[in-house]
Amino acid sequence: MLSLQDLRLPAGPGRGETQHFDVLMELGDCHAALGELEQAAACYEEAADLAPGRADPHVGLGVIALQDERPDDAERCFQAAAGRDADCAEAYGGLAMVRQQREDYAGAFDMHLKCLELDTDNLVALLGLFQMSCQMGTFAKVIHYLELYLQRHPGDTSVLFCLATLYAREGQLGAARHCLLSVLALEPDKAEARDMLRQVERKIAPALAPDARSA
Amino acid sequence: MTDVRDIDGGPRVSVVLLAEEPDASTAAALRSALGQSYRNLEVLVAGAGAHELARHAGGGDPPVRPMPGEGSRAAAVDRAARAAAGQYVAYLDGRSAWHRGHVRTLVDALEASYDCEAAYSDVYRTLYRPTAGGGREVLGKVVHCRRDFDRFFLLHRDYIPLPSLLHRRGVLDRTGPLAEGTGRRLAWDLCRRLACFTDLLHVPAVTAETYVPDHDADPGDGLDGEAIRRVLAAEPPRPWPKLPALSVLLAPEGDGDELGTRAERLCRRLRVPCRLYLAAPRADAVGAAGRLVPVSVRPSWPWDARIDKAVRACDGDCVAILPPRGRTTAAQLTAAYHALLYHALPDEAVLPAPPRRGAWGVVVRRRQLLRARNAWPALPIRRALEADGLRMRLPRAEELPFAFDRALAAARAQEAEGNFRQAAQRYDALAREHGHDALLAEAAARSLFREGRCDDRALERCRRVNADRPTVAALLLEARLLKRNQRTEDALRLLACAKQLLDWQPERDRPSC
Repeated sequence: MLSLQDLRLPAGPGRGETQHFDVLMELGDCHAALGELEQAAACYEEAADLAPGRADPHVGLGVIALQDERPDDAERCFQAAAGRDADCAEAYGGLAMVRQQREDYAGAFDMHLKCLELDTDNLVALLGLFQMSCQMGTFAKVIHYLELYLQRHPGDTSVLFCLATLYAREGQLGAARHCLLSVLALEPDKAEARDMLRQVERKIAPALAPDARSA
Repeated sequence: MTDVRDIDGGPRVSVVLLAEEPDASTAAALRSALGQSYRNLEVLVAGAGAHELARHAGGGDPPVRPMPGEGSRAAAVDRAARAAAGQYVAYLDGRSAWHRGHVRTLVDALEASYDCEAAYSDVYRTLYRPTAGGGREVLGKVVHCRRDFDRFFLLHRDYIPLPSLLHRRGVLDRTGPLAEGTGRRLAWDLCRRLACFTDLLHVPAVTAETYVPDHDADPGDGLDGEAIRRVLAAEPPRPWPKLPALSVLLAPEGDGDELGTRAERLCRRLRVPCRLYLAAPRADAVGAAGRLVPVSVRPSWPWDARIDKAVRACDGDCVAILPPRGRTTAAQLTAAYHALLYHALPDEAVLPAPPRRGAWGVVVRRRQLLRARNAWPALPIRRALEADGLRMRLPRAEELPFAFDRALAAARAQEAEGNFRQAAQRYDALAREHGHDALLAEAAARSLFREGRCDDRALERCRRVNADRPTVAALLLEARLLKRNQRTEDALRLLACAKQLLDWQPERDRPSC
């Protein structure tokens, strides 16, 4: 039997607390995507006024400042976002970009890591971390995050390829070969994967040869 | 005699504006009344702020009359509505405003209707944050109401806000004065009364806004005990042409000391208008309160004799006889009453629950009960009804009230569990069966959007809603779908419309989206 509590009115999503904010954020995102940075900034600013405690408008403003090549403003915006929400992964991702632009690779690496701690699915941070690792020559941490990401997105060939590169650099040739075979299973025409597989297998062959002889 | 028709042939409409305080909000509500595209109006300003607000109205077209006086909100509204010279009455308060076409939309609908004496439209429930200057920073506008008239649903839920309502002036002569102490449930009291005399015509267009501050814990359909109790206790003068009145009879075996408690509990939970007749030796000690009517009986009288006396005392068109012991819930009683009114054959009565040993109850038409008792006075009531040819049965599943609401609750539960595709299918099926197209198309679109792989189907439903009656929520949803499909410029256009609707002040012309 239906209770009175079940007879609540079918309304829209909630009371509409965030509706105006959502519209402004979406407007900002669309303007930004179309390169209309001034209009986008105006929308994000209005959203920030409407919901002063929210981090996302400041992330939007930070991204615009980055695109505008104003790293100091961008940093201020991302700091403001992180100050409002310590768990805002995008804020740390933005700060990483700022540091990257300033060629502060160690700082960027830390920020990418922080971003990935909060959001292991963040592909931008993951690839940023990969780039920073290549710059700095340290791969252990990035391998861990790439593996985590691939557990959730096993079909992402670009990340699989990055991981294969890192395994190869670390000398884990078997793991690298396995990744590359997976990439080619999904994208048989990916030439760079085929080339790299050939190189990896060439390196593996001498190591396998004594075993083969004994067999 | 006042001429109530204007030069265009439109009937005069009296607007009752409740001005408890002559503040900026009430002034804005008044502006929205004076700015109506429909011009044959008079505005009656009721409440403590009546004189001051009317003085500021100036002009004289439409005329603004203050209707001050002592008493509660209900008394002020009642006084003004009964003083109305118009053929129709509409309502406003400081928490609401009309769009420019509100009155015309509702008058046109009622003038075209043969049998409805009242109509209501959809409204935006506008959530806002008060600003330092006394203004409102709008946080969101969610369509409220958007539901066709369902008498039983209205009896159970306060879903028609006062500013959305327009009714013929004449119906007030039958509904009686509004109940005191109903607070913000005043509209519910009025609509429940109206529903006893007429169907309420739903006009599916947003024509008004009610303003709810963001710190207000009650969004409008929550429960506030005392006001609800007063609404439920009130009823208009009988007879009611649209709702056969119900009398509920309770007769305990023995002294029935616990019966007062049982009756009170039932009074609290039973939302259909009815009177409860308590037939017990010490019923007078419980006393008449609200809808409870004591019926004195002798301790030696058996249960059937007590019920017989209560039947003679009651005046309902339908009678619910509760078993002498055991629990009959308000929901069981409501379901049996609903089945009797809308589904039972003329020779059928409906059992609220399966009979147990010695505990038997029934909902039956009173004239049939009286006929059976007159024909078979020596038999127990149940046997007398059977002997008189009445068949008694339980309500069937398809006869239960709130079929739409039960199905909607099931669809929403599926959506909440993440079964988005199934939820969307249910919403679509509901729309085919019950109508409510805009509401259900939007819900289906939302589910399909969340499903993530049916954007074309979601877009088709969104377009249907937005092409006809765009709402902020539907525009936002369609824009998100377009954006996800890389159609950013189209998304931008819809978002701009949504923004216009959010920024729109009701007294201005509606933005053209």
